[in-house]
Amino acid sequence: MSDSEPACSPDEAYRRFGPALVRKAERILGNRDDALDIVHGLFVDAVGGRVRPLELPYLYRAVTNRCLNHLRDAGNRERILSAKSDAPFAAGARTPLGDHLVGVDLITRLMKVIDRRSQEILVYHFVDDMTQDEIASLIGVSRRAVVKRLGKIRDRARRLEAQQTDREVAP
Amino acid sequence: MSCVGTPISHLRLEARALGQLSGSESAAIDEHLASCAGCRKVVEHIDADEVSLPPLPDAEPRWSWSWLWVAVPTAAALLLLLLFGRDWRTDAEDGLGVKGGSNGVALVRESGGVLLDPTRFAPGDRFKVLVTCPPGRDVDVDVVVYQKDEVSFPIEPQRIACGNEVALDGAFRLTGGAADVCAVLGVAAGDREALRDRQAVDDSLCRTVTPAR
Repeated sequence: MSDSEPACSPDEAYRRFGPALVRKAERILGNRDDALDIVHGLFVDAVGGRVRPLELPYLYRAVTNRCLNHLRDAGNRERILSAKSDAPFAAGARTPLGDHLVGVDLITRLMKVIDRRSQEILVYHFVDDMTQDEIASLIGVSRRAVVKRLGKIRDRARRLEAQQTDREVAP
Repeated sequence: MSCVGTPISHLRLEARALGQLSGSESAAIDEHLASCAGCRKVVEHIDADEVSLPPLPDAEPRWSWSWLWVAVPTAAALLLLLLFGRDWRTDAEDGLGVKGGSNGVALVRESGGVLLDPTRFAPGDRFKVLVTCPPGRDVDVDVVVYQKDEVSFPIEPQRIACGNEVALDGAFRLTGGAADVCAVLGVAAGDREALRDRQAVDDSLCRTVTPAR
């Protein structure tokens, strides 16, 4: 038997999911004003029928992509997880990237050198604390692909850390 | 502040705050929160956060001055076609004018804010239907679910602008045994009585979903 649910209008979805999406955008961008702009822009497009479906997982992913676009376009990737941000959890992520909590600076440098898909996975894993299964479901790939990608990200992080250490040691 | 065990993702915590999780999922999260200060802090922030959303604009009126820039040239082009053009009627029986294999359907299964394998279903899971058809025209769509001795229509028939994975309005849940979820496009979408016959639909636009173990 199938049991239908009423469809959600853009206005209803905005009121219902907007605050959660603003918090999500704020974790990436580091400030609430930009987060509000991103989410507002998303739902302006929804009013115009250009965003579907209006379900939380899809909107969550749409916000992530818009935030990454914003950072790319602004050429301001240093704002991610900035230590000066207002977002309370940006620098206090609950998920370690490796064997230790990764510093804000390392994440910032990582975002400059990894590709778009890796940026997305890094955000979901480290900023949103999603499990590998959740990430795989959200972006439509296998768990194995996520595991593999996270492995490459960790390797890159170790190399960046090693470079930083070399610079500190060098006279 | 680090987490005890595996952190609960922000998405799931937000879904919990919105009441979108099942009773068992909420209970599992509550149990984790009882011993995890890191995740509790996230929940406290969600509960205390006040977000002032700027207002959205009204939906664009169906007719506005900007539409004239599209409507006038389009009308002129159609007139020219009628006077001098070829027969632009479609060949397909259902008026879609597409060759076999150009249409497609996909299901999305969601539970507690997490997307799951759409070939299975469990109590509480929500399904959405995505339709693919060649862009450039609008088409009537209906969805019919066939289960052993039962036929149901879980969402309202609707008209969509064809494109890639167009999400139909409305979501539904499944109970009972295995189900064939079928999208029906074109003129056939208007006759629900005829659609009660499983043989009436195109198998390529059906997806089988079985109960999860």
